[in-house]
Amino acid sequence: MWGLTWRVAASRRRLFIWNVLVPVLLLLPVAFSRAAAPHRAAVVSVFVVLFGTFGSCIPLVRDRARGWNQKVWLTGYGSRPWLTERIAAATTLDLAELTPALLLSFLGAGLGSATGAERFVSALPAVALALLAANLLGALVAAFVASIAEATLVCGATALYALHFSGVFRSADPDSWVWHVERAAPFRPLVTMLREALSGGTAGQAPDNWVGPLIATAALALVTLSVAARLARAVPHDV
Amino acid sequence: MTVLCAAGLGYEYKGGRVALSGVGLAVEAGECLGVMGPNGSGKSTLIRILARTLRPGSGHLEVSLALRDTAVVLDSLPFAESLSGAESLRRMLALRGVPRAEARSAANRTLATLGLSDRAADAVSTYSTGMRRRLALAEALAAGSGFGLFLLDEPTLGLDVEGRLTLVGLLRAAVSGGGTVVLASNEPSFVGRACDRVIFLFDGRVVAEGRPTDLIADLGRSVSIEVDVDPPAASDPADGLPAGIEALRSSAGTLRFASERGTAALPALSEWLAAAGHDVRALRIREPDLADVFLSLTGVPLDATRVAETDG
Repeated sequence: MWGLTWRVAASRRRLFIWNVLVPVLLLLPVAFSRAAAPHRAAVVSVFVVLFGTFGSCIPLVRDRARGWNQKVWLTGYGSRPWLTERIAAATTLDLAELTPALLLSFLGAGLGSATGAERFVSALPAVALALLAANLLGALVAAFVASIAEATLVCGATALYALHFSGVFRSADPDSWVWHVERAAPFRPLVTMLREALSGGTAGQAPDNWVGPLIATAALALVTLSVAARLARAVPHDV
Repeated sequence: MTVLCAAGLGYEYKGGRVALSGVGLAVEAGECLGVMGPNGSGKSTLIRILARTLRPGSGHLEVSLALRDTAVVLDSLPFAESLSGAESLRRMLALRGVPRAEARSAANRTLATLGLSDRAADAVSTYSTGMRRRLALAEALAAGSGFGLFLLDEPTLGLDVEGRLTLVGLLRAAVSGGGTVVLASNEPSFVGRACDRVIFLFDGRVVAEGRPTDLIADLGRSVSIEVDVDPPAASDPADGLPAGIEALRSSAGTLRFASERGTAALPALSEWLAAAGHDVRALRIREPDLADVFLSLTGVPLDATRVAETDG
């Protein structure tokens, strides 16, 4: 399934180009604006998370509606391996498609090309984790919505709430329950990394900052994979 | 060995529409079972339940083969549109665990058999509906005897006469190799040739079952006659029909008759039609088939569409 997903993506070059070009066009004005670093970081975080969530959910809903998911399931390919490989492939593909736009954001932070590229590389783990969590969230939403219209609405709402609880829009009072939630939110490393990197600080994360988000992402993966059969077996219908 | 065994299968769609009610069937290895019935009679629902994509609302189903050993063609025909037909087929076989070299040769062989070799390198998105149907059948049949069970919903849709005959040959070969086939179709000649046994579904229930030749023989007639008339007949003609000719249920513009006397009944029938004031536009004589069996059992033509039945 991993190979098939990549092969299909490679055969749709036009779509791949658009998926690279649109993030560049959207983030270009932000990258070179004079907005404060936290604001630029918020915009980039929201974009990355929505890109991953929508990009995972909508194709799954569309493929379920046209019977593709069911067709793969009918080959006897397990629904969990299918979804795992599909999400893994989609996450890597998202990372490849977003790389130019993110690189541009780092370069636009006035850090100089060499430093910007270096910081971008050190930020990749946080971006990858955020994209993985976003893809998992999108797949989870896809299992419960009936149409692309519903997918769009529910993805938007869940991704923005998840971002909210990652502290992207404000800083919670230390030791409040929101603050504890933020520390474990899967998108938290992305948010803090972008804030620091775009303001000229280090993009690296202290190891203990990763524990909560990694556990939360693993839990999200378990929940998402538990509904894999629901996504795979569903009868095709109009969307 | 019994491959499929179902008892008391029932399914109700949201809103109370009853798709199946108390359906029971058993299919042995090396057997081809045809499921016939008008649109809306529950054929597709039955195939989906047998394919395990729908859970029956009631009843019991046992399938002795895993999904990996089952080839399913449903009414929807999804493909990886941007891939070529040949690659799409090879990759679906790979998902089933067929080794690459074997998948390649099986794909080439089956595509050639189903007349798709010329377009095998073209993207599936450029295929016509008939070609997509043939590609779906190729996916199902590519592994040949590697599959134990074939579940096919309307496999002849979009196929020309030659394609149908080819499909009959492929299915008979699969059955001869120990495969089991359950197919839903409203094509009397196709089902008559391909299937060892047929069940008729009507409003979600099995109304008859048997070997095609036996069911047709039980009709006790040698020919079926259809007459297109203008103006359309307002009601079933029955009064004053010559001896040995039976009037069947007619549809708008078409009168249907059966005769035990073969073509010898035609002169008398022609005289009767003229006397009754029917302006004959066309007259077709054919041997009785499974469509006639269904019509005689239910009074409804196979090509009719059944209106949904709802509770309450």
